[in-house]
Amino acid sequence: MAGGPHEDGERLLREIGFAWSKTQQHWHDDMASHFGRSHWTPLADESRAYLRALGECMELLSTAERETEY
Amino acid sequence: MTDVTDIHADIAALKEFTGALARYRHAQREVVERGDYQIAATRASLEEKASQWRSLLAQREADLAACHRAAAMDAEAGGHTDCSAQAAAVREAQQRLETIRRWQQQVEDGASAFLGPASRFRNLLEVDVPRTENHLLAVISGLEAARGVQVAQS
Repeated sequence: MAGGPHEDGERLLREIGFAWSKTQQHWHDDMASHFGRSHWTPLADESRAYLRALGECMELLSTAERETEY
Repeated sequence: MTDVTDIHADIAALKEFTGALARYRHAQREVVERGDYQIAATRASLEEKASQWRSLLAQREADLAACHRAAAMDAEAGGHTDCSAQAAAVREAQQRLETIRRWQQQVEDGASAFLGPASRFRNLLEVDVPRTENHLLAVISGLEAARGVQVAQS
């Protein structure tokens, strides 16, 4: 992991999104649609919400450090 | 002739995705821990800076008080002592301490706002994702049982 935690988290989310897209190429029955709605979408949405909040929080922390560096 | 792996490509893909989800859960848990650590580190750093400036302020106030005492004695003897440099040093320490306190408050507010999404995400990783993995394993078992096969993960 090289970047800030939110950047690494976003990369992981992109990777799992890519893995899901690949899975959908082979799995596309009714169960797959149900899985997409009831499992994948909430997981992706919740991950995005967390990573957005984490990014804002990390930005605040680095500004706080910078503004108090004397 | 169609390869058996093509016929059961869905099962192989599901197995791969289940593994990817488990890796996602572990790696994002690390991200959460690093985020929490960063908040704690910034809190500690700001507190350290506040402590240093509190000490400096106390020292500078003592210097200013000493200067005022010397100025009073000088004045009795008809002299003049200028304490403006000491007064400016006190003001500078007060302002910097105030700035640090303001940022400490902003960090606390930011950390409070972050608590909700962080707690929901932790719950997702601890409860929902494992449940999703189990759901996928059940789907895989169901498909394998229905077809009377056991597909190795690619």
